[in-house]
Amino acid sequence: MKIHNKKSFINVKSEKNFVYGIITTILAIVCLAVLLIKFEWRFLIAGIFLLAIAAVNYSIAFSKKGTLEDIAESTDERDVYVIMKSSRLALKLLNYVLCAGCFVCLVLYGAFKMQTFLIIALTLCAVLCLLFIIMLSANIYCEKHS
Amino acid sequence: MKTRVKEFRSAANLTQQQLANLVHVSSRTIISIETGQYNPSLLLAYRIAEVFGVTVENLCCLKENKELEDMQYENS
Repeated sequence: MKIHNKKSFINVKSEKNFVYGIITTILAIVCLAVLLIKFEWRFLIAGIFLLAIAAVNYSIAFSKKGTLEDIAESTDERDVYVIMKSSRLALKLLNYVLCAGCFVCLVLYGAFKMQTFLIIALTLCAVLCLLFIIMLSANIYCEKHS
Repeated sequence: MKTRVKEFRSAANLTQQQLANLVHVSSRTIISIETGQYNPSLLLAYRIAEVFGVTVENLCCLKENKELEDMQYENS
């Protein structure tokens, strides 16, 4: 990614690390601002850590290409096809695992009457519903835009 | 899908890597096409056909593949 400004010219090699750097810088500024209002050791430690992480991310962003950029450059049509196929399979497997987990937890709740199993089953069920809604939305989007 | 990429590549004395470089894909893609594991896109098929100076129809054995698919449809 190349960011063109009127005054400066920045060549960002790893977009992902650059975004991480910006986020960690914002968090570090917030920590240090809170520190100025009320001194607390945890904010000082968090601020220093976040600044260090931001520095590392910026140095990576400007010095070498990130994994995503490398993959994007080295992929051809077969790689894209393989990624699509493996993503679909992964999603299918995740669905099966969640369904199985939900079912097992419901059976265990029926057998032992422990509320923990019901909570786990309901959480897994909620995740499944969310996943279904996301899949449906993505499908509708792709149908309209491809 | 059956293709004649390997046959034309051998005749042209090209390695898989050389052909891959000529059509801007990885050698893995060429291997997959040759073994029939991957069907190239229309554009890639055209690029490969252009390298060997043949038609896409000839390279991808479209007539034979169509007949084979028709037979499979009839049997199923």
